[in-house]
Amino acid sequence: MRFSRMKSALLALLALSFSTALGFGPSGEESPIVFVADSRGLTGWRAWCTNLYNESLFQFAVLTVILIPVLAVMLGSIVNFFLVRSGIDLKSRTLAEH
Amino acid sequence: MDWLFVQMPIAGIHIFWPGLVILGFGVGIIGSFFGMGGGWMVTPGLNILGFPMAFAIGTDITHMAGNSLISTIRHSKFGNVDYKLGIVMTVGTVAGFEAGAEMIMWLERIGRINFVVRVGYLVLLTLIAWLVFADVYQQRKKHREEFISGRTRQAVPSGGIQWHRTLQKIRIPPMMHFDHAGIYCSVWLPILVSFLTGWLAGILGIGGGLIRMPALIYLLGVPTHVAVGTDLFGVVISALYGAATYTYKGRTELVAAVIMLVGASIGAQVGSVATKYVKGYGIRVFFGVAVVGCAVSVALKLAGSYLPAGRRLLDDLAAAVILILVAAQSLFILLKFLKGVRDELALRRGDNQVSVLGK
Repeated sequence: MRFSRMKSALLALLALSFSTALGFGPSGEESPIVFVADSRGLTGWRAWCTNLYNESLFQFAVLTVILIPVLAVMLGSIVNFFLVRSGIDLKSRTLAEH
Repeated sequence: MDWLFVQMPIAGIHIFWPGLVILGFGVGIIGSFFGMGGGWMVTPGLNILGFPMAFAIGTDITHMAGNSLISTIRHSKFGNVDYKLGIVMTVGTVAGFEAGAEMIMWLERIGRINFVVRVGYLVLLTLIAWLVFADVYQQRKKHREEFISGRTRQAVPSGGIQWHRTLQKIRIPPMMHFDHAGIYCSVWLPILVSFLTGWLAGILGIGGGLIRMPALIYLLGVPTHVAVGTDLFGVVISALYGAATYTYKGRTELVAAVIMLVGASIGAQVGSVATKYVKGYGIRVFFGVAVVGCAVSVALKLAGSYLPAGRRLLDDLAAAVILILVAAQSLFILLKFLKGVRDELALRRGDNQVSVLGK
C-alpha cells in the first residue's frame, strides 16, 4: 500500500517535472518554447546583441532587419571595389535572347 | 584549432565558421546565377554543420535577405531587374503564399500533410526539369533545322517552348508595359502567375524562387537574365519578411547569418557577373540540373519515410546529394566566371592594341 502511494507520488512528480521542462502550464495548455541565449563569456557587441535577444525579441528582430541589408550593401560595395579594379565591364551585358 | 570554431550564443553550439563562409559563398554563387534564395541548399548544409533544425531555417532566411540584396543590386546594374514586374508579382505572391499556408493548415487537420507536401514537391520538380530540358531540346532542334535548311541563324534565337505567346494574347485590362522584361500583357497575368507560384511555395514551405524563375520564363515570356534578376528582387522582399518573423520567434542565429553573409557577398557578385558570360539557354540547362539534383534529394527523403530501417542512411544521402550539387555547380559557375573575365580582359587588351596601332 505504502509502496503504491510512493509510486504514484513519484510518477506525479515525474510528470510534473516533465511538463514543466517541456514548457506546459499546470492547466495543460501549450505555451511557446522560450530560448535563452548564453551571454556568458561574451564581450563587446556580441554580448550586447545576445542580451538584446534575451530582453526583447521585437527589438532584436528590428535590429536584424536593419543590420542585414546595411551589412549586405557594405560587403557588396567592398567586393564591388575589387571587381571594378579587375577591369571588366560591370555595367552592361551583351548576351541576349527571346 | 579553437579559433576555427565560434560560439553561437542563441543555439548554444560551437560551429566551424569557415564552413559557414564556404556555404554562404556557394549559395551566393548559385542563388545569384539562377535567381533564387536557395533555402533548399542552405538548410541541409546548416544542419550538417551542426545547427538544430529550429535555427537552420531562420538563419538561412535571414542570410538570404542580404545575399539576394547584393545579387539584385549587381543584376540591376546589368539591367536585369524589372522592378515594376517585381512589385506587381509581390502582390500575387503574398496572397498566394497566404492561401498556400491556409491549405497547409487544412492538410494538417486531415493528417495528410507530409505525404502531400513531399509528393507534391517531387511532382513539381519533375515537371520543371522536364519543362527546362524539353525547351532546350526544342530550341536546339529548331537551330539544327535552320542550319540544315541553309537559313542563317537568327541574331535573336527563336525559343523552344512558347506558352507565353498564348498567355500574352489575354487582353483583360489594364494592360501594362514591362520595359526591362520587354513584355506587354494584362496586369492580371503576372498577378495570377505569382499567385499560383506563391500558393505552391506556401504549400511546400519554400521561398519560391525555384518555381518563380521558370514561371517568369515560360508563362510570362521574360528573358532568362531578366527573370533571374527580377526573381531575386522578389526574394529580397520575401526573405526580409521571413527574417523579421523568424527572428521575432527567436529562431535566428544572427552571428551565423552575418558570417555566411561574408562568403555570400563574394559569391553573389561572382554568380551575378557570371550570367554575363553564359547564354540564357546555358543558364536554363544549369538550372535544370539543379532541379534534378533537388528532386533526387526529395525522393531519397520520401523513400526514407517509408523505409524506417534505412531512414538515417537515406536522409544522409539526401543531404550529401544537395551538398555535392552545390559544390559542383558553384565550382562550375566559378570557372565560367574566371574564363569569362579572362576572355573579356584579353579582348580589351586586343582592342587597345588595335587602337594604339591605328593612331
